[in-house]
Amino acid sequence: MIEPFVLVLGHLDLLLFGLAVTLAVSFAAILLAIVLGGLLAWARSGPAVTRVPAWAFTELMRAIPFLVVLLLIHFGAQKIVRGTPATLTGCAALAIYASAYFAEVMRAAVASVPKGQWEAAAALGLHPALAFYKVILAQMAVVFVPAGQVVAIMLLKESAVLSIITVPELTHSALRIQAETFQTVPTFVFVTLCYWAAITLLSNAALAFEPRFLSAARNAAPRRRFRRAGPSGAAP
Amino acid sequence: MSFDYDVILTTLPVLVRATGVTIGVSLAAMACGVAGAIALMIAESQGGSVVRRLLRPIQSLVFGTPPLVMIFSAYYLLPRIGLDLGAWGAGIAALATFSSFFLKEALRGALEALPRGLIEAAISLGLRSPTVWLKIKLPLILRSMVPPLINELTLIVKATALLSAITVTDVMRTAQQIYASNYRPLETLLAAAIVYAVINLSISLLGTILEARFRIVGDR
Repeated sequence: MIEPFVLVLGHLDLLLFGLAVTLAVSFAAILLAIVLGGLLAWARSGPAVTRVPAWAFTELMRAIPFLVVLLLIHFGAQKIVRGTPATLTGCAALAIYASAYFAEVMRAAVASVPKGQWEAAAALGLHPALAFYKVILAQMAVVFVPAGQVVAIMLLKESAVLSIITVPELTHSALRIQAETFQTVPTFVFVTLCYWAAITLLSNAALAFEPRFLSAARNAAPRRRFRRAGPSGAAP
Repeated sequence: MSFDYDVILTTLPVLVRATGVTIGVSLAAMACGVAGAIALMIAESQGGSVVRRLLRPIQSLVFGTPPLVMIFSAYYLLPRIGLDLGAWGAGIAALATFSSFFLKEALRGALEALPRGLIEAAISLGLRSPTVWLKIKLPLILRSMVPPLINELTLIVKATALLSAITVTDVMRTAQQIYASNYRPLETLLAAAIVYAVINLSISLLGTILEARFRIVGDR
């Protein structure tokens, strides 16, 4: 009963290396995806020339399996520069795929800030970029952090797919150990627990930021509620 | 080797023939997922604190496992406990486990949103608990479930591509077999991307139609 687990723990170095690669690749991809997502969300708010391609990209990314996106980017990169490392293309694919989801979350977060905040900032003579940084950013964070966290967790889970293009991450380590030792049960139990721990940590990470954002939201100008002209339900 | 548009056109029909497997597996996983979600929801709301305390760590584990790891686990581990379902069965079981827990959360939200007076009225009419579930709660909940169900179905269709890793010959694996022999991965994968996009965009369109059809009058 104990013996298989001991056998797998003999490969602990490989498993820990895989866990480190998974965490590093996911973290880099999350940062890159937030930047790309911001650009996409910005493109969606612009003229039709940028809005339509950004919209089409977002819809396509959400309709195509990540594995297809990953292989397309991986083989596409090989065509341009032969021998591009799989870790690099895998990280880029994760970021590009998740950017579409981050863009949607960001759009919703910006939309949650009342329009009056933009207008008030403009009335004070703030440039739109400065208004975004000084006025809007802290207020949109209240919506962005919890929803963005869901996307970040999704990205961390999708990183397991990188094992298919031989990125030496956690799932890849598991498949290797499993092929060497034939100890399927302890290998997958261990790997599942690793992912579970990482995702539980990530889903609790945003809790640390929450008090700050909530106080920022409380200090922001109170939202004014507009009453409808007629009594509700009396629409023609 | 330059990009060859003809390859897309010649591989598309082959991939379209494989959509049967992708759609079949997706629908099977979806059906099992919905059934599982309803069972979980009823167990959770009727079973008391013991069931709830038992379900919480399981749910945390399911939400915290990547789909690919779950699929490999089902494929390698289920035969070890004497449940040899083959690649298809293991794949469907893994996908259904995921969606049943995700859908259960959505169902619970819909259940909590039901007006209390409606349930109390049913009880005061003397209806038994199973009848209240079958005739009042479930029909109302399922009607409001169209958007999350459609969302889940597109997620399942996307997740079925991972079953190619455990030898289910769906669109993805067919594409991999094709580019293994024609050495044109980009064109072949683009064709696969088109197939998946068409499937999922049709599902979204169907969702919009169903949503309008099943909207509860007076709701929003």
